[in-house]
Amino acid sequence: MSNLLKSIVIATAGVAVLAAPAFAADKIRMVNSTKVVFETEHPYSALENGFFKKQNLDVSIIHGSGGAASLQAVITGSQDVVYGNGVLGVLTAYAKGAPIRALGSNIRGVPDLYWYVKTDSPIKSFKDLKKGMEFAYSRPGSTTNLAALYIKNALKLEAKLVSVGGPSGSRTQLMSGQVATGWSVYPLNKGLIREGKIRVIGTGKEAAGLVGVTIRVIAANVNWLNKNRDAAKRMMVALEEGQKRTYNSMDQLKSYAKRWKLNFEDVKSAPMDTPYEVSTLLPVAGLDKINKIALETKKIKKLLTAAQLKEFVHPMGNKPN
Amino acid sequence: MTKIYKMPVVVGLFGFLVCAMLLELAVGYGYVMHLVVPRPSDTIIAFPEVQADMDLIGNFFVTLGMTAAATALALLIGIPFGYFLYRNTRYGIAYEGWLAAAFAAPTVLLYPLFLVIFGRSHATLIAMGFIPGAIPIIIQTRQGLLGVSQTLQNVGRSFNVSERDMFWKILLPSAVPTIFTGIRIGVMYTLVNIVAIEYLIDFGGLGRIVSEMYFRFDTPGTYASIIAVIFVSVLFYWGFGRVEKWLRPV
Repeated sequence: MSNLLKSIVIATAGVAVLAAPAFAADKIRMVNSTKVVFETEHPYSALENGFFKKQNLDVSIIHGSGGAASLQAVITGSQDVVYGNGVLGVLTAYAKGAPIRALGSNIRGVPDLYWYVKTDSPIKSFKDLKKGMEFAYSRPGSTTNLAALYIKNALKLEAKLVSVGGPSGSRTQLMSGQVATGWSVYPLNKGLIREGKIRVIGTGKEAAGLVGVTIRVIAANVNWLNKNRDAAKRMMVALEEGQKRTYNSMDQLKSYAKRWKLNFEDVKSAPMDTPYEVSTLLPVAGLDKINKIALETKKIKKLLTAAQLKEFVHPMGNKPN
Repeated sequence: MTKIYKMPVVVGLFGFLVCAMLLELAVGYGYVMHLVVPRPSDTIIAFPEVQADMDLIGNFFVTLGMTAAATALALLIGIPFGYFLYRNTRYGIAYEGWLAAAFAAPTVLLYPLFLVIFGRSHATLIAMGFIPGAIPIIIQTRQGLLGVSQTLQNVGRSFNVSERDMFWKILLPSAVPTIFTGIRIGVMYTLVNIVAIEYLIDFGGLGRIVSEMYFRFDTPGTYASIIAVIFVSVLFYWGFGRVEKWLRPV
């Protein structure tokens, strides 16, 4: 009897040990290129609501300090996936031979960006920006730089494009009178709008040339992707589910507000500021335009070929058709 | 004698070349990712490109000029203030701890405040370079003067030298090595701060080029501009070495 019991215990333990790897969740290391911004909220939604777990994934999320640094982490293999990285940077890195591929779109166009002035400013809209006035953007080659350039060209403005750093640096410089305009992204600084300290003069929707063009992407290290394609596909499914949850659940918006210590009043309208239609994970659109912009801004030395652009995108983790 | 003088230079250069060749091989064989560290040969090739595209030499002089201005200001204020703290023991004791703490603080993070005060101008760069440069000069000037041998001072007094001569002929020459240690530390921190602010606010000289190249994922260009920053540092290090030798030839 005792021997039989021992055999059963040993056999059970053996089966458990052998079966363990089969049941272990696939680990994915994700770097979120920006925090607080609404469109980069969806991975947290997927994590908190167990959508990754449902797909048998163990996803860790860290915050990067901007696009280039986050992308570098994925290129070097210290992270597997980058979420919400500027497509211009990702395409440039790919063109330079980086092992990086886009899995999906994070946002098309820049409707969530906005520009503002102090309430007592005579500037009412972009069109009031006269020659020499500072039209703010974050850094050269950034999404805001791109948007500001497109707005300036579309409206034939003679304002001067000025790099002012992130939203907080921009606010400081505007409030202290260093620059004529500030830039931000919804829902950041919405409290100041509510309190009447600043006034919005226009949004990224006026960058007509960028409407429908993928601006931020979800990208992965191709070496990791080739070894973990199934996990990548499941991750994209979970992200899609997380995104739907963010858009459709007030509880998730409350959780978003709580996580980043935002006023819920400012967060409530985030799904309207960044409509769902521009945030769907597919298509990754307008890469031809991004390709040309990369060349014009000297990010790349020659245009990527159609074959390269095709190889660059692995929609939802699938191999390019 | 000449051979003995030259040997360390030759050995240093040889070591540098060996390291560069090893790196060239490591990148070439894929042990080091070329997107993180480029081949040294690619970095050399990148110099003309960066020059044509971003005026590397012109920006080299911008950073050099900003660093020189901030260092000059740090010297003008740092050495007299260090002397003041040496002469007034109570102030010296009271402020040394504060100065050491301020030196350890990452003042570069205060750049938004300086942007508000000075605007997006060279004045911000100079002011932010001045702070970390002046502190070690103040501390080391005081320490250098405190460390002057009492015997030397007694000899001076026995000759009835004036306070002025005591300072110029005994105190300062004795304290020069320590003061120059402070100056060397100061100029390095000044340069680091200036390049960091140029990088952060996309304004000015070499830091702005490093930033631009980095965001383009142009790794050889990034390293070429970093090497230009190193040249600024080398130039200051060499220059202050010459001045120190001139002030204290023995």
